[in-house]
Amino acid sequence: MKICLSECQVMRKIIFFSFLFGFLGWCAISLKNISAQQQYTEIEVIDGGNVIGNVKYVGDLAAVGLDLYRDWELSDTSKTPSEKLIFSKINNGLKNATVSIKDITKGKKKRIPTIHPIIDQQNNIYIPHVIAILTGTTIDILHGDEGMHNIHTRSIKNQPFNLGTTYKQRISKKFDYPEIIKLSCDLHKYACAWIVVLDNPYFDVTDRNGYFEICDIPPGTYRFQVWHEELGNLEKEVTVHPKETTSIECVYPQN
Amino acid sequence: MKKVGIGLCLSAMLFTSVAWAAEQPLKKETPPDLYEGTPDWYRAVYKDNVGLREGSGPFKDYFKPQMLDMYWQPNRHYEPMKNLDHSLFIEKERRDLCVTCHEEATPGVVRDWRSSGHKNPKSTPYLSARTAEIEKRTNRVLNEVHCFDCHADTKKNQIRMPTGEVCGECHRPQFDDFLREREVGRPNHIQSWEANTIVPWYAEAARRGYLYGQHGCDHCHSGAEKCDVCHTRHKFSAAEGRQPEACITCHMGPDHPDSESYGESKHGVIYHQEEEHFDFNRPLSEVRPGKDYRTPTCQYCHMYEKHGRFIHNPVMKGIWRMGTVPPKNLEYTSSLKDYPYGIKIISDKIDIYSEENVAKRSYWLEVCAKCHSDRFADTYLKSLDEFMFQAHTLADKAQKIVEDLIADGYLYPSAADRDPYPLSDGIEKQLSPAFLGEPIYNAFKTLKGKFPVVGPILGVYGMFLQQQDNPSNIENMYNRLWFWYKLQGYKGTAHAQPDVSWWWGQAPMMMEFTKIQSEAARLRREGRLEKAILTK
Amino acid sequence: MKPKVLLDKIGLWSATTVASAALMLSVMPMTASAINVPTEVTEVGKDTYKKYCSPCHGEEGKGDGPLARSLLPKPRDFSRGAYKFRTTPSGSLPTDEDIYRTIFYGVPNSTMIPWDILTEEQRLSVIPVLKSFSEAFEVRKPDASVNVGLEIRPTERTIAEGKKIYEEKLECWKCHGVEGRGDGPSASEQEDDFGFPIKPFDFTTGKFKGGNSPTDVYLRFTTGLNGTPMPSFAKELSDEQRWYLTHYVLSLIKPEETQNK
Repeated sequence: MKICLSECQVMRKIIFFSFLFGFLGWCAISLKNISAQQQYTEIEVIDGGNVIGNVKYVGDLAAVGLDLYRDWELSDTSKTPSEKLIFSKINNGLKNATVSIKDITKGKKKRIPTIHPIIDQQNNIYIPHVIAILTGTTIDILHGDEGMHNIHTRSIKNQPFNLGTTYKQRISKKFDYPEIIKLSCDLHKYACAWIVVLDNPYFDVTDRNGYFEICDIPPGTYRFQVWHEELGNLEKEVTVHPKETTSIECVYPQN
Repeated sequence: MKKVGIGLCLSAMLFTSVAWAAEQPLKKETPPDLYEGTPDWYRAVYKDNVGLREGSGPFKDYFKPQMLDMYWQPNRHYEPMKNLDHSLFIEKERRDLCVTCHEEATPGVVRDWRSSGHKNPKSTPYLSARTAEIEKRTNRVLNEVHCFDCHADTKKNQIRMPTGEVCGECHRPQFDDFLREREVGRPNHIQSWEANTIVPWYAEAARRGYLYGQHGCDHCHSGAEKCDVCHTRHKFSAAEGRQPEACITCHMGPDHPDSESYGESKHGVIYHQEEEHFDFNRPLSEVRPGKDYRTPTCQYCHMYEKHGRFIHNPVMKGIWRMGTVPPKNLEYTSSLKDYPYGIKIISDKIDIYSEENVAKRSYWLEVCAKCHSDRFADTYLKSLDEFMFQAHTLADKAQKIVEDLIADGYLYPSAADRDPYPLSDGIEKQLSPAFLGEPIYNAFKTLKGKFPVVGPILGVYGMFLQQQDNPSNIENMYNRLWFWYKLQGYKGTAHAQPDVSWWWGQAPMMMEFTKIQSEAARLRREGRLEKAILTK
Repeated sequence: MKPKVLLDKIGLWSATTVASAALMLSVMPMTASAINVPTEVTEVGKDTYKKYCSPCHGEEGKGDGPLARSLLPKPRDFSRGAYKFRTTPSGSLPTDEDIYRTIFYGVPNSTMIPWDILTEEQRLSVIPVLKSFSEAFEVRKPDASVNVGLEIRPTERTIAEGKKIYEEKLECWKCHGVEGRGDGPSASEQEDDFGFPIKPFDFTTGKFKGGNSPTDVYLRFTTGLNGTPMPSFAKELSDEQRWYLTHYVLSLIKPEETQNK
């Protein structure tokens, strides 16, 4: 690659050429990358089965420390409960766990939502706390607070970003590679959101009672993966029968 | 003001030594050498760089130095760091990059240097004059003394750890003064490393895996090659070196409570009360007693040479040599009469009334007379002599008790039944009869260390190395008596601290003496009983 | 009189011309020399990296070299592809030029010295080595450099506008402090992407890490500092506003007394 060093900053012509080359290189690399990814073939699923289930955490809330004194000088923190670990008192259902099928190679069509999913910031926290999306999806990150935030991600494959925003700002970002990305604000450290980017359409995030549902899975035996930000990964093998609904339960043991 | 201060500081050293140098015939400039005048074997074991491969001193083959020694004995042990090769910076003489990087890597060092006379050697008229002298002498222009000037070894293209020799390139008179410490022999600073390495227990401890236990010894005794012991890096302030605090890191504790005795004496108390009125920026030779200093500092008395001149070392005027050497002027009953026996790392017995020492006494009186009457000062110093005679007599008596006990065969466990003297397999191989004294040499040769060694200076091994039953309790009692309490009493009396003199000195000496007496009586009784039972 | 004045003037002008010509000549070759960044990791690159970079940045580029433990700020961990000083938008990889610039000029206020001591070939050869440490360079390519556009001249008005942004709109003071000393209320809790505490920059030192020119400072606001909490304000501020902020921040410089000596 030919580049010219200017004493000061930019030499546009050369930059232009370098970007031309850069673009060509990018094309080559992205082609290579597509072939290198785990193959997922889209087929029409006629006799697909469904899996419904419940992710549970049997344990004490105190097992995962909540630092109530953190950021004590900021008044609103005491009102904002941590979203790190929320589970139902009734059935121990764990909220915000992402359930996906790890080793599926063919299945239903990837449908990238045309209306961008939203992560909003209100009262210095992110809503929703965890979002799971398909590769290629664009997310809109909104700013609903009056104060200043920065939206800071720490991804490696997807281009990270760190943008300072104020009231009513809207940032649109597309995520092209499967990765678990933490989104946070350096001014309000207790708040963060997770963007789970997956390369097949079989996933769900548990609701506040820990329930999830994944539909239209071609019959077969799969490895289901559950991921939670505090409790980590859990794997379970599930056999899906045609046109049947299988019910499973994934339990994080207390440790 | 600060700059004036630094200027004055530097000048202090210069002034005194230049004055001294002026009367000497102009010496041909030879590169400064800390080991000037020492024999080849001495250089080979102390100066020649071996990195960390082997130790130093006559027993160098018996131990490898602890790694820190490379900073403490740079000539012998320093190795440049391997992690980052600095040769490129030295080769291209990139002085700017030293500061650029180290301003962040070691910011304290760089700020220190920035506030030193080295950064701005011509910032004040006074400093400029001193710098001009150096410029003339060394035939170079000094607008800034930079990291590079001291730390870059341009011949080997590597980083060096500066020793006094590097400082001596510019500060030659001070360096030569320091070198003169050799004239009076140990104890002094320039030979302080010998105290660790000629004694056999150091190598023995290393051999037994206790070298890092000697850390406490090494740290102070590293003053042999370096100037930053008193003028700490990287400010190298002369004013700092003139303050009593410059001395006390080493000169304290049971064997030489200089800090405690001076600090709590009236001299020291007034110093602490009025410290802020002391003008340490003045060269010692220009200090007006009562105005710049209301009481003397360590440096003011000990660095006074004679006839109004100061010298850049504090050992020239010493008479009692830190109190370990017995005086000639006493009759001894114990084997102290044959002193020195064992390793001759310290001078012969002192004749307190020798011509030299009488002259030295008059130099002391010259200092004292700045404030005290001649008669008062003379009386005080004579009372110190009397104290020392008493203390040495008591030590002699105690040694006699221990030696008689051994001679009568009551030492238990006996020398034959316990671990031998430290490094006894190496002593006779490494040290000559001349160095050891014929009888000791023969004893090591024939008895292989299975014999008791009591008293100054070899008998003190029990304070540095513990071996099976060696030394026994009574021997260590005697060590405490002569090496701790006698010296504490000496420092207390010499520095005019009555409490140290009595309660740290004379009183524990007597109590230890009593303990030795009763321990000896007990051992004798037990020995007799044992014999009686066995003969039955 | 008159001819003498004329002569003086001619003398002055001619001297100026000669001087500027000389200056031009001395500057020209440096600025105009084209350089080749090797695309592959070369032996020279490996050697140079091992000898001069790895002591701090580590053999694997993880910022964990033997000297790293005592350094603050910690040496950059290259494995994430997060480079602070770029001309590319927030989160983007740097251009080769950006990397070269940092190697050549160093990072003030850190132990990263200007490596002008190395040959140009050595400096260039290191670039592919650095890139090889991060998979980010395999999957992504740097975005286009941002267009700096025309610089705005600092006036009292622009500085006042910048102050308003600093204090009210963006609340920069929360980290950087009201006086720009890097001592704002949130300063102590800041962490970089690698989990190390990071100090917000103290503008009063005047040693800007990415360079002291207004353009350099402007670029920091526009591109952010990847791997640190410092975001990009490309979305939030207009081009002019970023210049205002630049002018205000540059007005905060108050060098340490020792530097005046």
